[in-house]
Amino acid sequence: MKNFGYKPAPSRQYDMDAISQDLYHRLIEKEPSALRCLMCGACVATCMANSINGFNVRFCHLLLKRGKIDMLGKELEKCLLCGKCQMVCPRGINTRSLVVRMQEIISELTFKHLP
Amino acid sequence: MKFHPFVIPFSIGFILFFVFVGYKFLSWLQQLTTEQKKNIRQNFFSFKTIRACWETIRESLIHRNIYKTNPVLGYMHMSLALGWFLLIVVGKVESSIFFKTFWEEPWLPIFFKYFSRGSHNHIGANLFSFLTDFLLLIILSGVFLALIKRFYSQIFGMKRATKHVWYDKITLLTLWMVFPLRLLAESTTVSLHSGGNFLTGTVGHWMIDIANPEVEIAFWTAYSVVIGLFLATLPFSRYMHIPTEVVYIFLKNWGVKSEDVPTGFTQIQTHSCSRCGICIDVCQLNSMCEISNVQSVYFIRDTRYRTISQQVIENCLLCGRCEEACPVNLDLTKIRKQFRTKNEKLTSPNIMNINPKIHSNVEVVFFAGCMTRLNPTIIVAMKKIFDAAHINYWYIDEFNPLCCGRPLIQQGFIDKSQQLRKQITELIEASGAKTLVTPCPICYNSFREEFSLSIEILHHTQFIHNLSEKNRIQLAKAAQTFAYHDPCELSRIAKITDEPREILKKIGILHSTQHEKNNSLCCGGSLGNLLLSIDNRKQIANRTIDCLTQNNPNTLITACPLCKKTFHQVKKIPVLDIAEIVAQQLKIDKKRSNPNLLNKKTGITA
Repeated sequence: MKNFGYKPAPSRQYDMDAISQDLYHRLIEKEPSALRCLMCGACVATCMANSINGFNVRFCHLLLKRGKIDMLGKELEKCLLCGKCQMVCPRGINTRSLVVRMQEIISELTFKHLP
Repeated sequence: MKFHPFVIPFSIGFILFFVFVGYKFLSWLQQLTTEQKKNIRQNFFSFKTIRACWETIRESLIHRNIYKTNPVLGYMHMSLALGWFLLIVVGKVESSIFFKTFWEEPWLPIFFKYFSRGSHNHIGANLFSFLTDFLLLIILSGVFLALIKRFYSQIFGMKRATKHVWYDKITLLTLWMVFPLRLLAESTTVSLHSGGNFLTGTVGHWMIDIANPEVEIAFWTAYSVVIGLFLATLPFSRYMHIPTEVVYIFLKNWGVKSEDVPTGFTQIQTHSCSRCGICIDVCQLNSMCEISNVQSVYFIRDTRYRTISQQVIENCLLCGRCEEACPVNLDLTKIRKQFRTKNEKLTSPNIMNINPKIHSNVEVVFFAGCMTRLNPTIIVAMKKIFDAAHINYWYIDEFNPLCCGRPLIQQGFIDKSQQLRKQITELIEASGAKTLVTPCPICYNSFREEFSLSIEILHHTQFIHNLSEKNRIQLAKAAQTFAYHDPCELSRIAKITDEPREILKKIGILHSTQHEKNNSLCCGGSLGNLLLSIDNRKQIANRTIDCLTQNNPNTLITACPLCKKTFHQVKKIPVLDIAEIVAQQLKIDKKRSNPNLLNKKTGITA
C-alpha cells in the first residue's frame, strides 16, 4: 500500500440516537421557544461578549443538542445577559432565558436566598 | 364586677397577639445588619423620631397615600384604621376615668359598656357615649364599603383587586364580624340598662323585644370570640401590617436602608404589606398582557409564606411603577432583586478580559454601553455634540465593547458583575477624567448605585443641558412638536425628568402626555424580565407608544437607547434619542469649528 503521507479524516458524524436527549428535552420544557432556532448566527454576530471573550451562544445551544456538555458550564458563564441577541433573533427566541436555563441544567444554578 | 367568663376568648387572643408579634419583632430586629442597627441607635433620640410619629398618623391612620389613588378607597381604609384606633383610645380614656385607674384589666375598655352598665354619671359620660357611637358608625361604614368592594371594586378605582388565600379570607371574616357584633352586644346592654347614644340607643330600641340577659351574654361572648380569633390569627395574616407598618415607618425615617441581600429589614417590609392590591392595576403586565399572578402583592406574600415560585420572582419588568403606587412605600424593586441572587460558582476570576489602549489626560469619559452600540446614530450625534462644544473626551468602549453589568445584577449574577466593575473602574481611573457621560440610563444608574467612582457621573441629558445653559452649544428652533417618553430607569430610579424637557422646550413644542415623569409607562424592553415573550413585549410597546402619541406629535423623543430600540420595532412615528435631535439642531460656528471634524458627505476635513 502506498504511503500518501496522510491518514483518512476522522468521522464527523454525530450519531444523534446514541446521544441522550434528556438534557435537551429539559431545556425545551423550560424554554419552548428554543425549538424555533435555525442556527442562523445573528445572535453571535451582534454578541457583545463574543467581542470580549469569544462567547458563542449558538455554539452552546449546539453543544447541548449534541450532548457535549463538558466545557459548556464554563462557556455559559461568559454571557453578559445584555439582550442584543434577543433583539436581533429573527425567530423571536428568548435567548437570554435560554442561557440562564442552560446554566440551570448544566451547572445547577439556583437562587441563593430562596425563602 | 370586673370579670365575666366571656372575656376569656378575647384575653387569650390578646396574650397570643403580644407574644407572637413581640417574638417576630425581636427576631427581625436582631436579624438587621450592623449598619442598619447603627442607623437606629444614632437616630433614636432625634427629630427624625417626631417626623416618624407624624408619618405614622398620616399614613397608617389617615392613609393619605391611598386617598391620592382613589378617595373612596382612601375613606374605606381610613374609616377602619383611624376609626378603630380612636375607638380604642376613647374607650381606654373613658374606662380609666370610670374605674379611676390607668392600669386596669385589658378587657375593661373593650367591653366597657357591659362592665359599666347601669351607671352613667361619670365625667363626660354623654360625650364619650356620643364619640364611641360615632366612631363605631364610621367603622361600620368602612366595613360596609369593604363588603361592596368585593363585588364592585370599580367604584374604588380598582379594576383588579387582590386574590386572597383562604387563611387571609378567614381573618378578614373575623375582622368584618367584630363591629356588627359589638354593635349588637352594646345595643342589647343599652336596651336593658340604658346609657347608649344615637346609634346604640336606636338599635337597642329595635331589639327591645328580644333583649334579655342571656341574649346579652351571647352577643358579648360572640364579640369576644371574634376579637380573640382576629388577634390570635393576625400575626400570621395580612393584618400583621397594622403593627409592622409602624415599625417600618420608624426604621425608614431613622435611615435604615434595604441591602443587596435579604435582611431583617426585608422581613419587616414583607410583613408591612397590607395586600391592598393597588400595585396590581398599575402593573403593565396586568393591564397590557393579562398576566395578573406575578405582581408585587403576590411576590411579597409568597416570599413571606415561603411558597414563592421561580415564575413570580423572574416575571417582573423592574420598572418601578408598583413602587411609586405603593401606599406603604416599600422597596419593592430592591426586594425582588434581593431574591433573584444566584448561587454563582464562577470557574474563572477573570471572565471579561479587557485590555484596551488607555487614553490619559482626558476631560470626559464617554461610556456608550451595550444598547447605545445598537444605535450608532446616537453615538454619531454625541460625537457631533462633543466636537461642537470642544470637549476633550475619550470614547472608552469604541474598540472594546464594555458592559456596565446591570443586566447581570438584575438577574442576580452579582459576582460576575463585580468582575466587570473592577475592570471598568481601573480603566476610568487611569484616564484621569473628571466626568463620565453616558446616554444610557441603565448604565447611569449602574455607575451611581453599583460602582464606587469618585468622578462626576452624568446622563447625557444632564450633560447637554449643562452645555446649553453655559452657552457652549447653541440650539436652533425647529418647527416640530415632540412627545417625550420618560424611561423607567431615568424617571423613577435616577429621578431625572426636568433636564430633557428643558432641552426640548428650547428646540420645539413639547406636548404633555397622560403618563409623565414618575408615572410614565414602561416601553416593555426591560432587561429585568427574563420570561416575557416577544409578543407580550410588542403588546406593551404598542400600548405605550399609543399613549404617548395621543396628541399626534411629529416626533417621539426618548433618552434611553433600549427604549428607542423597543419603540423602533413597533414604530408609528419617527423615534429619536434626545442626543440626535440636539445634534440635528446644533448651530455650528463654521469659523471656530474643529479642524479635525470630518465632513460626512465629502469625507474631507473642514
